[in-house]
Amino acid sequence: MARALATRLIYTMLVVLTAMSVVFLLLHLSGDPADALIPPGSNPDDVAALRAKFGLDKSLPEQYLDYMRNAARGDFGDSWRSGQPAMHLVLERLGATLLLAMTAFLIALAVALPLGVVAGTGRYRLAGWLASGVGVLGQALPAFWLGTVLILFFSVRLGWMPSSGREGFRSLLLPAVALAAFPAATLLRLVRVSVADVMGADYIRTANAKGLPGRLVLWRHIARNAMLPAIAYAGVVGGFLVAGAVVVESVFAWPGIGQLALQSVASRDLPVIQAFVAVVAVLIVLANLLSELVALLADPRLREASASGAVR
Amino acid sequence: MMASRMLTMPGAFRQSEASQRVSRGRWNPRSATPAAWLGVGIVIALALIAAIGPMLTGDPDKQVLRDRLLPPVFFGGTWDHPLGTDQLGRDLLARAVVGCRLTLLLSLAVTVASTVMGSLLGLIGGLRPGRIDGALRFLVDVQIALPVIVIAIAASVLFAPGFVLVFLVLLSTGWISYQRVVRLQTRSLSQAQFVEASRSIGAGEGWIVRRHLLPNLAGTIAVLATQQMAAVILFEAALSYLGLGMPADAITWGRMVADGRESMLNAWWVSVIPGLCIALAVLGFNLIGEWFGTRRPGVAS
Amino acid sequence: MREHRIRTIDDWNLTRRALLASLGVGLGTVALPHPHAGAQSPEATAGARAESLTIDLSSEPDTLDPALTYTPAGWSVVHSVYDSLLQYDNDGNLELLLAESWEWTTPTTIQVKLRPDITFHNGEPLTSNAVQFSLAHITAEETASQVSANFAVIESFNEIDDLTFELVLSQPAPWLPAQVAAWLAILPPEYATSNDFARNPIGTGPYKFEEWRSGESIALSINDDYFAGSPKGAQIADAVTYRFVPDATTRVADLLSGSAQLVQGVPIDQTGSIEDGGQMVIAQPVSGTAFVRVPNTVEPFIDPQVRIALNMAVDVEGIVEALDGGYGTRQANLFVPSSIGYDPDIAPYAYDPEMARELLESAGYADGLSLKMDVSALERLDIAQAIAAQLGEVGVDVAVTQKEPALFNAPDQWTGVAEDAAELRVITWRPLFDPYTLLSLMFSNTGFLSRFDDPTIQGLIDAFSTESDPESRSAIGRELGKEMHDNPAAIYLYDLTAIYGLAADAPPWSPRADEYVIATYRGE
Repeated sequence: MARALATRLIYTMLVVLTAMSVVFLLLHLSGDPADALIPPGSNPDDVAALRAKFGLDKSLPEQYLDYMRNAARGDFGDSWRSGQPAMHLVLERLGATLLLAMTAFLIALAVALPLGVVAGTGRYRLAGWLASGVGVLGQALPAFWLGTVLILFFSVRLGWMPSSGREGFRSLLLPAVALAAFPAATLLRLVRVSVADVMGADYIRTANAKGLPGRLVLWRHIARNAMLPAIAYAGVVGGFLVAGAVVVESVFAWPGIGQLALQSVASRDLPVIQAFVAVVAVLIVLANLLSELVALLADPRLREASASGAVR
Repeated sequence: MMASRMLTMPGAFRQSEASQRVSRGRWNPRSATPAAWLGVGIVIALALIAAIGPMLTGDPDKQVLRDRLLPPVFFGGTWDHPLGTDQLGRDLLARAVVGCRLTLLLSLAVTVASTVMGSLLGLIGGLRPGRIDGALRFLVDVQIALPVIVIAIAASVLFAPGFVLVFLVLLSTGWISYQRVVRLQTRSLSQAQFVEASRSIGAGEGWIVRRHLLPNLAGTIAVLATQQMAAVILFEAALSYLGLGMPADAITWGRMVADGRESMLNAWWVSVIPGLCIALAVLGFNLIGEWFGTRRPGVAS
Repeated sequence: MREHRIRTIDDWNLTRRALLASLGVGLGTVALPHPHAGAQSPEATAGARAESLTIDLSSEPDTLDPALTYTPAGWSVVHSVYDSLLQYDNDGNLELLLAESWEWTTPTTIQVKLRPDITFHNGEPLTSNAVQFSLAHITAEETASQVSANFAVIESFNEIDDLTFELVLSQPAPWLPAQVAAWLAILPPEYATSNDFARNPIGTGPYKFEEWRSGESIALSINDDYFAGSPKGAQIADAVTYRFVPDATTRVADLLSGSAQLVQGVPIDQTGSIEDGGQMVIAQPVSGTAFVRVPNTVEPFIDPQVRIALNMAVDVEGIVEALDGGYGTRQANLFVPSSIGYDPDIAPYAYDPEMARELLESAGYADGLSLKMDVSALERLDIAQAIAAQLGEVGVDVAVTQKEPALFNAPDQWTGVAEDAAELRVITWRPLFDPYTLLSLMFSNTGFLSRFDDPTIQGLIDAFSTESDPESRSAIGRELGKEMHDNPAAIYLYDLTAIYGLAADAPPWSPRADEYVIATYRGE
């Protein structure tokens, strides 16, 4: 067990390191980052000084080695724009994004699980229609558009919520809903299909036939089949939530890492982008790992499969 | 789009059970419900609009500045511009029709490429356990750890903004769901009795793939693909909002929504009309996807 | 996107301005009268002061180090906390801020006297030493200020006494005051040597720094000891919070829902909603201009007829009317009313597509032209598209490309070396109190961003950058403006207007031509 865990950790680190390297290369291949730092008024001497200051005068392999060496020590360099430690900037704002993303995921669960189960049993036509409606709308409304509509309706028209910023729980609700729409729709569909599938299986029909005690079994099966996609989805939703957060944070002026990343990228603030990528990569990989663990605990068949090597 | 990659993670095991019972449970067109037909109708209609619509409408780039932000016909507008006009006085009907072509084309291109690439790599991963599978899994894990947004931005500098750029960005994440699902299913299918049986009578790998694996995978892949068709449209919209989408002169629904959002307070139609187009397309693809998803009549009956 | 993206890079508006216009005749005289003296005093408006005021900015400053602040958002906070020696009023007149007098004793020597009894927020006194320290900071290599070169002309700083000093220049630099006004905010030397003043600034300005919540807001509080009669005006709130809201629609929603009382960067189409919501729209002419740069060093632009034809082909009035709510006036050249050298008598080109076609024909382009036009993602795409459509009407086919700001601003894009560099570039430039920077960078044959070379215009630019007599300099500016109109270096568009939303119950507030959003009121 300990050995498996160690292997897994090393693997995870490798994944993160590779992701960071890819980003490093992409960003350095994509033109001279110094270009973005230099206002058109600078004279060539200033430009050279600036390059030297940020180590951009070295060769690419040298820069890469320097970067990796420092990153291994936890030093991601200072932001080129603000001069503050890059990792500090990212971590300082990570909490806001995590809060937003988790709230959004909880909202998605709260909508998708009950609705998906009820619609999946196929017994209630209304639930089916409702589920289809939510599914289509959630996947059809761009988050930036939905976010603006929510602001205009709930903040401007009704005055119920703050329109932007971070002033306690009420500020969190609208951006979380805007971010939750797409994952809710996807999850809803997964749960619905999963439950619908199990409804047709022999053991369910048998359970149904057995009457009340069987009903309990039935609901246990249904619950498990509803939970499994949710757990699996939790493992991969991280990447989506990060991308969605960039958009939603921008609309709601939410002070998370999404906005920071967008700004850093626009001004080619490489140290901050790299720190952002490292943090996000670690989080996504961890979420993935966690969801696999939970899935193993939740489903004995997966456990067997895992042992026999069918899953991993 | 990312979401759909998990579609059948747990389902994979059910699938293998099912496959053992109905060795080649195929999707049956006769199982189509009215909803499914509606979906087919929508998609065919959109495809027709994309194919011949642009020939029938006016010039979508024609600006008449004094006719800007005219409302649609039943909201105070006239039949000159049935769906109203945008900030530059361009006809929204013409733009929605022309936008349909590029929007669907991008969606289709990304989906087809993702399907082919993901399924192929999934098959390889499923049939070649060990090093090759390990390498592919590593690739997938790295890709997942890379936020799409970073790829989008880095790519926007490497390539000129345009179709190819958006295509590559969306493909870079799009193939993963197929790879993961196909790999898992291939793995469990190749242990299924009917496949074992074929193997024992000396069937070659190519034959097994064609005869057993692909037919059984087709339904799942089709579900993923219809989902992706819809997701690509939405994702292109998000990229447009962030300024990383199609070039300025390209007309897509996503870009139209993004551009019209600033007029939401005084001219809702500029963003709502392309938004409705997106919703319609998503509805169509979803209905078809559900139809594919509810195949395998043998299991339930 | 555009609006919601961080307004960073396009806002490096180097300022240089010839204050000398206001300097009276001949060298020297100085001591500008305190503007608005008596017309308003802090006491006069003190009754209108609000307890708190929330201001939505379109972006977050990277830093509050004045030497490293290049955006209007950053300047808004920096110039609330700090003061410079000088500033400009909305008509482009130089005003004394921390300087009590500013005197050109020779074309290369400036003697400055500081206001007495000014203290920083931490109690440090304002002395010549503080100015010397601030100057050293902006020019220090390790500061890496992007404008340090603009101060390189200062050869030495001679302290005369605690409140008097002399700047000795290596060459006449009549444009220096514009640099001083924008960049040389005065730091407290004692505090600044041992503290991170870029995050926790201490200045002499009307507001004291309280807190910076990353990605969210910067809080300031009133400086009760601020000197009476400051040309910045009287403070209008006890506490000021700047919030960073990149999305323009959200900013308007903030104003309408009461989350903010003052918002920057209101899209023109949303001004109606603000008025419908019972709030106020404030349009302030900005010392800045919009133009489409056209090179003259490559075909087909070498013949001035082609560049004139392009100017005639664009219906600037129509565009301003339709897309900019009528705010802005068609310009004849790069000089705007608040610029030194502005000449109201030069008529802008009139919209005349027929004439444009004829000119193209006589220049040998009867079959039209096919051109590329770049626009930064931070600028307005719709305006670029409208221009392109109108050029299309006279047979000039223009492909518009929107570029990421970092890519747009890459030097080889400006100089046309890059393969995908477009001939036409949509540019907005501010401030333009002193057009010297813009001219020397983009239109002189030695400019880093230039694709323009004309001997007559070059001679005038050179004279404009060194002439120390304000009257003569202004005359040179007018001549230059005429020459650049007749031999256009751009499609000249319109002067810029900043549009703000202000809550109806907010205290009276004064917008500024330099686009700093400072919570002060300067009276009628």
